[in-house]
Amino acid sequence: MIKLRNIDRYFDSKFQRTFVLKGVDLDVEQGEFVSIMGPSGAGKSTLLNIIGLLDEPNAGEYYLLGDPAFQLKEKKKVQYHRSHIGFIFQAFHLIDELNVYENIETPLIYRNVKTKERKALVADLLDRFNMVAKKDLFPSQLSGGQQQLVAVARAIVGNPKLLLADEPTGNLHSEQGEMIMKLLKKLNEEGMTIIQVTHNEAFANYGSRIVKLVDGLIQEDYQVKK
Amino acid sequence: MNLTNLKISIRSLLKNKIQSSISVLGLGIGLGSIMLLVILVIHEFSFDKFIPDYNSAFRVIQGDDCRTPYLLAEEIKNEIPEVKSFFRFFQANNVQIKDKNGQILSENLFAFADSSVYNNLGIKFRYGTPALSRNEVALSESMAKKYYKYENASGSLLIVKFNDDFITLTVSGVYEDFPSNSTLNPEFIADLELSGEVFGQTQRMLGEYGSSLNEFKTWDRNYFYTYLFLNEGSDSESVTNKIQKYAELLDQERWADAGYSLQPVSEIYFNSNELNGNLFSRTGNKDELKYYMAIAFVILCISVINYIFLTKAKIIIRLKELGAKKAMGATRFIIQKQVLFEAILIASMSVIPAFIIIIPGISFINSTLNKTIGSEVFSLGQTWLSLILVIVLTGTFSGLLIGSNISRISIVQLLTGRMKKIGRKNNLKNSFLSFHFAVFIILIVSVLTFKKQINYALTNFKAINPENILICNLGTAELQKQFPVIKNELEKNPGVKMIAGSSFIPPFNAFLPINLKTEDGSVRFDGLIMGEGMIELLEMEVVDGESFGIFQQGVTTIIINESAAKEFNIKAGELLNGFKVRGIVRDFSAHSIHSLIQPMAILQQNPEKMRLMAVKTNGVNDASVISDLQKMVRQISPEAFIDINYLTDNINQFYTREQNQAKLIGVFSVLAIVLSVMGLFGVVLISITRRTKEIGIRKVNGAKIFEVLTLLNKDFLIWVIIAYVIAVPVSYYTMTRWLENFAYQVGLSWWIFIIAGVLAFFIALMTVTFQSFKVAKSNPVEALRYE
Repeated sequence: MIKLRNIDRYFDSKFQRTFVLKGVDLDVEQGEFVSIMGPSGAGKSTLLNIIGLLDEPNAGEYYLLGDPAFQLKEKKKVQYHRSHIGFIFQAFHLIDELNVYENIETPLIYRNVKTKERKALVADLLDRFNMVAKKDLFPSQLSGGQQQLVAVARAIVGNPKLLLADEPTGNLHSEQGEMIMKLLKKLNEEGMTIIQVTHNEAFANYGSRIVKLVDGLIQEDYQVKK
Repeated sequence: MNLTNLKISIRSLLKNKIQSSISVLGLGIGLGSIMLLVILVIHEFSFDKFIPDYNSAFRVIQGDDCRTPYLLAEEIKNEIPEVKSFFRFFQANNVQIKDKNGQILSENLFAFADSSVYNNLGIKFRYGTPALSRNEVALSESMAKKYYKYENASGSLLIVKFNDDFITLTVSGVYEDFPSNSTLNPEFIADLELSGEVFGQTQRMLGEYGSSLNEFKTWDRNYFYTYLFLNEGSDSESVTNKIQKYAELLDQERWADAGYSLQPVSEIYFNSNELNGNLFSRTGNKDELKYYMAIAFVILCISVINYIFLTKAKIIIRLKELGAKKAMGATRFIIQKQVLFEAILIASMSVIPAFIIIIPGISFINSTLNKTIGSEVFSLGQTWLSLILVIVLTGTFSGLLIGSNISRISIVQLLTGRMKKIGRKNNLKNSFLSFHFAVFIILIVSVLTFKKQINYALTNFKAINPENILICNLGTAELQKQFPVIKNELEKNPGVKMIAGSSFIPPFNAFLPINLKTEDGSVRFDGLIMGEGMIELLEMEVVDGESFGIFQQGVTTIIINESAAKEFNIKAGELLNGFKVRGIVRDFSAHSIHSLIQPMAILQQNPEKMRLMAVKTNGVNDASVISDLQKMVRQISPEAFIDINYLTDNINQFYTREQNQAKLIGVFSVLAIVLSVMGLFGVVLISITRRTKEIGIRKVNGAKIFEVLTLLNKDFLIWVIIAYVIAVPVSYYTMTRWLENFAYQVGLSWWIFIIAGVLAFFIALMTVTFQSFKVAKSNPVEALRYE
């Protein structure tokens, strides 16, 4: 599903070139749950951003769902964001001015889904996540765990093939974190491909595979023993 | 989609109440002032367009004069078939009217016209009919209310004074008030026949030198406006050609070269300033409108710039929201659309503060610019159309500018919430402050220069002293006859220094043209008619010969000023065109200082025909002088309208236009100050939020509060200094141009520029310090903790 070949990502400052990623090769198959781990500044988030088409590699090739996905035009990227990729962030990034219901609904609006259909989809998710009672609350009225729950709901409401999570538990305490991880695992079991970045060894083990990144290079890549 | 946008926008506005209200209020000020000027322009250009078929309505111009003989209109109507109808119009000033309680009031808009005036102008009658005989008069609605307290006044009596006698007229009807955009705005309309009474009155002003001819139905007395209404499809040029022949009937000596022309009524308001005798119509000035429009536009620019920068600052806080949206598949276009939407929303919301400016602004403009904008301007489609246009344009412009900037930022940057630092370029962002403060400095310099010049005009008189002089109008024949008696009696009051009579007292606004014939043709002088003692009372200086002595009937001697003596090379005792020059006075200020002192000639008035009486007081007990004078006037002529003024008050009126301009620009400067401070406030806020960490580090390393304040102020005050450099030459140039309106100028002073600069600098300093003080004082640990 994902094929990265020889990916470089660097920044040029006045006199030197700083590599964030150097010669990264990575393949992810449909239905996998990959955890990317590594110390701060190893390039985990950059890798995730490149996979999610938020960032572009300076060199290398990237195939998403079998299609070349490097140097895509803005419009094409938006198409991918709308229909194939869902995001979860460490800081949730919910829209403060919209309530739970409206936040979940937003991606559907961008996909021009009809109102009736939107209602059904959002209601379905709210029901599934046990959040029906909270649908009129605003993000600031929710706990961190609940906010991330909404963010997950928002990420999957469009039924994406790929879910990218950048330290989804980074701002949560362990109990809430566990809840989110269980949820991700369940989604994975239902067939969704998930790639997460995490610092937490225990949470990394919820996945099926761990990729360790150090200084922009893949150091280890192994399956999690069940 | 749009509903979500609306939700997000409104909720985010409510969240940052202070910032939103600064945005809305600031934009409202700009919007309000531009709308106010748009309303003024719409009003000014709508003049006389209320007249049905105004395209086929014309005023007859004779040579360069708006006034035509009585007989002209009837001849034209009888002989030229294209002319559908006509009316003639004359209006008198200072007509005295006795109200129900016997009190005498003076009215300025007392007109005489053919009864066709109503139909032709589309003025409807509320009650009754037009005045059809010389015993009748029709009133406007507001006059009916003023004099009779109820609207249907037809059949009531109106007591009016023409010449020396009160005449009782019957009110024939009440017409609707003339629209506020009408050049003619009579409050009373009497029959044309009655106008003869008034012409006698005008002649009497000249006293000894006036004629007593009241006959006006001739070809050589031009008193009347003639309005012609042509049939549909008629060619105004062919009518113009056809009426040229009537010029031959005029007094050939005076009107030898005069032809007739037709002035479209829609041009009367703006294009009559070059014409003589445009006494009964209101006029406007297109050039002045341009200046006001320019100022209003600049104010709008300032507020739009403010808005853009404040919004940009606010959006930095919302970058993450935009990033999340983009990650979810929002295109650049969607983001752009949302920003645009929000900008237009704010622009529309600013209509509320705009109206808070517009409503009192209209009455302010009406009083300072002497306009009559009424509420009907809001019933015009143009007003609302231009309001919507201004809002949409302002919103779109600022929205596009902000949006194009933001939608280009990459998602990763948005999500981390960190805008790329662009180093030095960042500083340039605040350069717009220079524009704000430059405008502000220019306006302050203008106001100060205006004030200085007006002050100069009011205090600087050449060879004449108008201080402590009371002028009393001798409005009746008895008063004029009794002038010597009043003079003798009043001189007993210890507060009185001197009394003299006159027909004209300089400095005054209108002048009396005197034509003297020389070998080379005729010379036109500015003339004055004064009584004995007036020259001394005004402290004019006789440089050659002597002043007027006791009046002798039949002996005409004149006194001229130095300019006249120089021009004709004449000494006292010599003859000027057969008149003996009795004396020569030093050049004195006789008119407003817009024009240079001209050659002048002064004639002597018969003491029993004085129109005005001047009383020089010692300035200590004027109240007792005034009350004595009032008593005497009431005794001699109980029905007279008592009119006592200070000469200096009359002089003040020469410069009302300039004073009003100063007032208007003063108000605009206050707006500019408010907006500049608002803009500065916004940028300082952003900069301080951004630099909290830097300030914390500096404080940890030992910077004092004062040093931090200096650091922050430095970045902003540099723009004020640049503004000053820009503003000085611009204001110097514009003010030099403005001063050219005056023949005698006070000149620009360096201290005006210093004051304006210091003021701007001080205001900027206060604004920055006020805001940064809290940050500078705060505990650095607080500032550093957040990182």
